[in-house]
Amino acid sequence: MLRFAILLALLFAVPGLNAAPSYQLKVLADNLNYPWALVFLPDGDMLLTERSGTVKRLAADGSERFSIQPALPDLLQAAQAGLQDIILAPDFAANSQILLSYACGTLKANNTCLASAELTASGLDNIKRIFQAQPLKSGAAHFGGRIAFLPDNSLVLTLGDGFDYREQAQNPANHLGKIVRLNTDGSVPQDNPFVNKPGYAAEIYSLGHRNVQGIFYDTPSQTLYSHEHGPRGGDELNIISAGANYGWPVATKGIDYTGARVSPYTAFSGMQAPVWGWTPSIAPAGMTLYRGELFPQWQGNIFVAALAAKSVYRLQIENHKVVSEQVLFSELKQRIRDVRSGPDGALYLLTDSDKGQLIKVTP
Amino acid sequence: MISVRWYLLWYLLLAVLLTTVLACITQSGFNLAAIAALTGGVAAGDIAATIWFDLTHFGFTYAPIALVNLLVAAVLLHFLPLLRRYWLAAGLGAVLLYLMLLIINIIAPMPTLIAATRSNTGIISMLLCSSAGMLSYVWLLKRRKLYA
Repeated sequence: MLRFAILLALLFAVPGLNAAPSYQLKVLADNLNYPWALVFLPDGDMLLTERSGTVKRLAADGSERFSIQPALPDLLQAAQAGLQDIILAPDFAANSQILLSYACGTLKANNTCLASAELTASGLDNIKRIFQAQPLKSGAAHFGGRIAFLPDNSLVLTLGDGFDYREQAQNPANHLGKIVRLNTDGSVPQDNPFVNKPGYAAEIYSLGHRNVQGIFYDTPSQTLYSHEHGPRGGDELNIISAGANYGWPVATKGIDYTGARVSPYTAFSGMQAPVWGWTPSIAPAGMTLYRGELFPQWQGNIFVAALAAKSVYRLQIENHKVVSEQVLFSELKQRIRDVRSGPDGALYLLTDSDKGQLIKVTP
Repeated sequence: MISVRWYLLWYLLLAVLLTTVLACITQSGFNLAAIAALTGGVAAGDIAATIWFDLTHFGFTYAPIALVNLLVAAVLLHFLPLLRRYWLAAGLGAVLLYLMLLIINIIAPMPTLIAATRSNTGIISMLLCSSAGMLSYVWLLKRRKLYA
């Protein structure tokens, strides 16, 4: 018993083993208009999107190299609609190709689009829409819009249920409430789970989602993580498998904003349960899995940006299960739209407001 | 000396209570029907539990809506005696609720606040709940032979 007590005391005495690492926050850029996503270029620069439709290229110190309004076909700006994610194509070094997700169409007929463009010294060139989610629906809510690349260089694009169309998340014939998998030219990979299956949209990779605004493929563990907004409660962290059904709106721990029950079921046969959840909602809006070197204690941890909770949730993962959770950066008192792990090992945050900031986190 | 006719308030509150209960059951019915269509059916116990849940949760959201809805209708009835017919009062309650739903959906950040009103059938059902509330209000008044 005494030896156990001494061991416990030693464990807690070793600095950095259990204590959270200290960090410093540095504002690299401010006065950003609802920044949405960030991506790092090989030369150390960053590309940043704003929901208003602006793409900025920033140097590593945050200074602006250019700020443009690319001519995205049918860009829709209203409420949650606007420019969303940005990502470099796997062969970016060879062709400077980037991909952008955004809401497109009109208030009465819209959905999420994916565009391809070529990054030049002064902006974007050769912009072309390569995918538009179907069907077109009305309203400016729940577009999903996060992109991640898989090891075979195909990409996954997250989509929302359009809010008023939640039951469509279970309809395999369309893209509402789905994650789709595409090639970088917008074509459908022939090994998608529902290719050539009657009544199924060939682009679908997984279904039964509400509004997925975080996705990350972790190469070392070969795992595709995503999180999605629940309604009132029921935010979820999921491990995405090809062809799986994630339950919305049949299985959910959330209820409608009015207090009405969406479904009597919190779990349902044949539907994947989340690996972690948040009730009440934190409004998860971006994510990364840390593989940098500046914070050894954060190695392999998932970071989830939270809008409503105004913080970042750090999740420790063991064997695909969350074993602990820590709330970070709540001292900022800011809605956090995105969190990214930089090539320099620092963590980067985007705050969500009309005076949004890009914040760098270092030890 | 102002005389307060408290029974008017009690009749209104009874009508609000009836409207709220009916609206909760309607809301439950539409959500459950949607889930049943996806799952092949919902057990009776789950139906009862969902209705109870909605009465004790959604009810608190809907009661203020019903109160404003029927209060405005009752005030109009008070000043416009022509409206004190059953069918006119029922229509008035429905029209006022429809206008309120339009305003609520413009103000609320989500496209449609009340899930049941995402479809025309759902809207009509909720309007009927409001009509039922107004019918009960006029019936209570007539029962007292105030407008007989």
